[in-house]
Amino acid sequence: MKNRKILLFVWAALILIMVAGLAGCGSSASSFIDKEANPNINVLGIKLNMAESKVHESAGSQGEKAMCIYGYEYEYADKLINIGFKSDKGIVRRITTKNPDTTIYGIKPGTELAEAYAKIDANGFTKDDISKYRFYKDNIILSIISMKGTNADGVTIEIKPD
Amino acid sequence: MKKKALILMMVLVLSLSVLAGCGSTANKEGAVPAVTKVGTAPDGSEIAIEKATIKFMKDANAGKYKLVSTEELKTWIDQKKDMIIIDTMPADSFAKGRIPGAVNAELPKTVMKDATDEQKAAFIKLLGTDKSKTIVVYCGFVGCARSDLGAVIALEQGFTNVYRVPGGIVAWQEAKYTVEK
Repeated sequence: MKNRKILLFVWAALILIMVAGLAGCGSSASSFIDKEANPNINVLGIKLNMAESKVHESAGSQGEKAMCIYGYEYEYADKLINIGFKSDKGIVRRITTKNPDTTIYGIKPGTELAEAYAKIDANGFTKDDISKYRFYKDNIILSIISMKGTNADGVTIEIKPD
Repeated sequence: MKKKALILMMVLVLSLSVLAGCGSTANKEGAVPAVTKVGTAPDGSEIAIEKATIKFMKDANAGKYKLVSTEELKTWIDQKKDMIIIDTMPADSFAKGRIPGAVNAELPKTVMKDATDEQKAAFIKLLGTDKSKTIVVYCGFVGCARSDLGAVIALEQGFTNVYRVPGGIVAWQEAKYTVEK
């Protein structure tokens, strides 16, 4: 009888571990990216966490590779986009676009800064303490590239580096 | 009893596999093999090194600034040489680790036309007014062009003792010199 109780306890503990493990895999950071960030990225079908081969497919070319401090990147000059990858995983960590036919959180490169700020605000991002062009939400950093301080000439969305 | 023990073992192995799988993205379709080191050619590719070297030499020749090695810069710091060291990496990289005494102004890694007015102004502000002062600019590693832009801006502003550190913060860390955080 006692043995049976112990066995039952061990079984319950193992099932709990499995359930917790499975739940943990799909939760938090990647869940935010899948559920919110990626649906708000309209850059030639390229998404955060996408594998490198799929990015080349979406961009329609190999692009030009360069190394970064957080991995490596591909510049697709003809498409006005630059995609950063995590070096240890080969998946997208950062998407930068200056292409006016693309949007990130509804911000189209070339739009006025005021309009871009309104969209960033409406999407619940928090402003950086120092830079007026940098915003945070969950594990995501959204940055505006403004050449003259009047327009959002480019937009970058990235996963916070480890 | 043996059957129960076997089932128990199987559940245990399965549980561990599930937990281990959480941290891994190795099964991502199309993902490239793991390379964890950062730098000009983390995989040791001579082609990448050659490409970076040629670009570096072209930039340095066109820029007309001087070069200082990681080792020499360390000596300068130890000798408390009067200089301004500028880290041109993004703020989060600067916060994670920098050459002691460095100040930060991010510049783009591409070409001068990609530098925003705000980035240029922030960089110029750090230079100060003494045009004869030694200015040392660095970024990530040899293949990184941010420091080239910084050195060129400093020369354009009339500074005469402008140095670029080719190996940047990665070489500094590799040399096992103290990193300021």
